[in-house]
Amino acid sequence: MGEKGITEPRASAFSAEDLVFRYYEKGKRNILDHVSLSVKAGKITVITGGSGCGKSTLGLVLCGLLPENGGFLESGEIRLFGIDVKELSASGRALLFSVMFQNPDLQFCMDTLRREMIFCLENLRTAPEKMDGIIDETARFFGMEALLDRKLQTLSGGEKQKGILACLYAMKSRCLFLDEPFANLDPGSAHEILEGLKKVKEDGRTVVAIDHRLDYWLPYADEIVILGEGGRVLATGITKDNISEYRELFLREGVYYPEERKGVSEKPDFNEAEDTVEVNIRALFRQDVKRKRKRPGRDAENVGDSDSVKNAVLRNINLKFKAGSITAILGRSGVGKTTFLMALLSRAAFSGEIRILGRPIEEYRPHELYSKVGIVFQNPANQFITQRVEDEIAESIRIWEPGISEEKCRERACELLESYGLKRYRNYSPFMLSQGQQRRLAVLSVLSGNQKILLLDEPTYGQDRRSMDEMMRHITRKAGEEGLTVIFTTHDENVADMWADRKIYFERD
Amino acid sequence: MVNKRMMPKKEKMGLAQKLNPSVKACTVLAIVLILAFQYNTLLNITVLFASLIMLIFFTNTKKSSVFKILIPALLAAAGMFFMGLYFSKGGSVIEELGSSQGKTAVSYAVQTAAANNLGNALSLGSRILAYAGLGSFFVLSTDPEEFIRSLIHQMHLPVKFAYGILAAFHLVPEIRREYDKIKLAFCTRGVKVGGLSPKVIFVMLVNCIRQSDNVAMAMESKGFSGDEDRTYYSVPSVGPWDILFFVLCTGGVILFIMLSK
Repeated sequence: MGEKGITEPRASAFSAEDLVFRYYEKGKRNILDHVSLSVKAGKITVITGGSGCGKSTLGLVLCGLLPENGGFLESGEIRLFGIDVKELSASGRALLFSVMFQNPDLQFCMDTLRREMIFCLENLRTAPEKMDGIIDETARFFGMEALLDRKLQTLSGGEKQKGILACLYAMKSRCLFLDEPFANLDPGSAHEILEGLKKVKEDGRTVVAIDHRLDYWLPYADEIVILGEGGRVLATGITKDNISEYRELFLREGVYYPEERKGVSEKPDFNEAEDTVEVNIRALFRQDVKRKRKRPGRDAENVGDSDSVKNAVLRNINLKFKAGSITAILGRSGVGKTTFLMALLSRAAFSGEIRILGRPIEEYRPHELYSKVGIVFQNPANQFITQRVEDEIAESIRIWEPGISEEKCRERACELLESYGLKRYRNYSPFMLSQGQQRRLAVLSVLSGNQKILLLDEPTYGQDRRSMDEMMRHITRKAGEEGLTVIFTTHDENVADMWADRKIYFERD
Repeated sequence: MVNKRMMPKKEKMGLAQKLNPSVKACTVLAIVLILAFQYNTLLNITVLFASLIMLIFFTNTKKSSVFKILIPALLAAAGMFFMGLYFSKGGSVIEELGSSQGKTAVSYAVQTAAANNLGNALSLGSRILAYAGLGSFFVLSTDPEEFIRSLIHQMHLPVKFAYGILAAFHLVPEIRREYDKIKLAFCTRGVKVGGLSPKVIFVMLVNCIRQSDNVAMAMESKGFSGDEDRTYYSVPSVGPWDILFFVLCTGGVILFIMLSK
C-alpha cells in the first residue's frame, strides 16, 4: 500500500483535484467550488479562511468521511499518499489519515483511554500481544500514563483532546488531520497539544490543521494556506517569515491576522455609571440549583461550611460590573468561568450575595431574571426556538415586547439581520448555518429582547476574525448607547485586550 | 472467565463480576423462564434473597444502588399482589363481596375466594421481586463493555451493532446534559418550557443527530468499518467456573421445585 508515496519522499500527503461538493444534490450553492489543493508530506500545514468558507467540509471530504456520511460530490479526485481515496477501506484510510475533531466529548467510543486505544488498534488489526507495548509507549510519549485508566468523564477537555491525539499517534497514521482542535481548550492545553504535534512531525508524519487562530500555530507551522469563498485556495506557502506580505489578504478574507490585536478604541470612563451587577461570593459551587428552590444562595450556606467550602469551585469573588462596561473573564478550562455565569443566572449554588440591578438575585422569579440578564452559550444551536432565521428574531422581539405590530416586528427583524450580515440567510433554518453564523444569530436574538446584562460564554468559539469583530462592534455600540453590561468568558487574551474594558483572571487557589 | 488483562486497575472486583457476562445473562434468563411457570412463593423469595446475597457479598456494588432498584420493584410487586388478590380466576373477592352485601358477616364465599387468591397474589407479587433481584444482580455486577465484548464472541453479535450500542451508551450522559442546557437556554430566551417540552426535544434531537454523526465519523476516522475483520485484545472465554455457576444456579432452582412438590 502507498508505494507511490513511499518512493517519492517529498510527495504530497494528499492532493485534491477540482473538488465540487454540496450537501444537497439539487442544491444551488456549492460548498466546495472547484477546489484544488495539495499538502506536503512530513510538514505541519494550517488551512485557514473565513467562517463558512468550507474549511471543515474540505477536511471531511479529504479524509473520505464525506460524501460517505452525507452530501454530494459532483466531481473531483482525492489522492492520499498517491492512492485514490475511493479505493481505500476505512481501516486502510485510517492508516494513512486520521482525524481529530473539535468537540472532545464526541470522539470516544469507549469509556477509558486505554480501551479507546485498544479499540483503535483492533480496528487496524494490530496483533493483540503488541497492543500493551504500543499503548505504554504512546502514554509515555505524551506523558499521560496516569490518565490511561481513568473514566473519560473525569478528564478535562484538554486531557480528552490530548487523549485523542494519543490514539491517532498510536494508530501510526501517516497524516493527522485536526479540525479546530483548540476550540474548547485554554492556551496551556493548546500548547501541550502543539508540543505533541511537533513531536509527531519529528517522527516523520504529516500534520494538517484547520483553524481560525493562527497565533497558536505560527511558531509551529511550515506552511499556511488561505481559503476563500467556496473553499478555493487563495494563497499557499505562507510562513511566519513572509506572513506580513499577506496581511491585506488576511484582512480582506476576515481571518485573524496574528500579532495584530491591540489598539482598542478609547475606553470610556465608568465612574459615573451605576453598578448593574454586584457580586460578593464566599464560595461558588458547581452543582445545579433546581429552579424550585427559592433561595439558591441560602441553600449552599446550609450545606455546612467545612465540607462544602472544600468542594467550592471558586472562593471569595468580590466584583462590581458597571452599566455600559465590557468585562472579559479569563482562566484555565474548568476553573469555573461558566459556573460563575450560571450563578448570575441563579443556576449555580453559592454562599454570599449577588445583586442584579440593585436587587438580590434570589428575589427574582426566573422569567423576570431572564428579562434582565441574557446569555449566549457555547453551543448557540441550543438557543434556537424556531425553524427560520427571520422568525427567530421576530419571535424574540415579540416575547419581550408583547403587542408589537406584526409589520413593525418583521421590519425590525430584517434591519437587525442586515446589520449582522445574515439577511440573505433569512429563509434558512438556523440549524443549517455555520457555527459562526449561528452565534451571531444567537447574540442577535438575545439582544433583541431588552436585557440590561449580556453574558457570553466563549464567544470566540468557532468564529473568524470578521464575524467576531462584527459581533463585538455591535455589542460595544449597544453597551455605549444603551448601557448594556457585557460579561464574557474567553481563552483568547487578544480578544480580551481588544474588546474588554477590564480583564478578570479566575484562578483556583 | 473474562481475561484478566482486560480489567483495568479498578477497585477490587467481586467473584460475581468475574463471571462471563453472557453466561450470567443466560443463567438469569433461564431462571426467569423457570419462575414464569411456577407458582411458588417460597422459591421466588429464595431467589430474591440469593440474588441480594450474591450482590452484597460477591460484588463491590454499593448497597444504596441495590435499594434504589428494589424500591420501585416493591411498588410493582404490591400492585401485582393486590391485582392477584382481587381479580383471580373463579370467584373474585370483589364479586363475592358484592353479592354478600347486606349480610351481617363476611360470607363464606368471600373467605374462600380470599384464601384462594391470597396464595396466587403472593406468588405473583413475590415473582416480581424475584425478577427485580435477578435483574439488579445482572445489571449491577456487569460492566457494559465486558458484556458487549462477550456478546460478540459468545453470542456472535455483529461488530457494527456491538460498538454502535457502546458508543450510544456513552452518549447518554452527554444527551442528558444537553437536554438541561437546552432547557436553560430556552428559559433565558423567555420561552416557558414544561417537563418534557416538544420544542426542547426537537432541538435535542437535532443535536443528537449531529452528535451521533460526529461520533460515527470519529469512529470511522479511527479505522472502524463495522466488518468482522479485526483483531481482539482479549477474547472473553467461558471457563469451568462459568459453567459451574450456570449448573449450580439453574440446578438449584429445579431441585428446589422438585423438593417442594
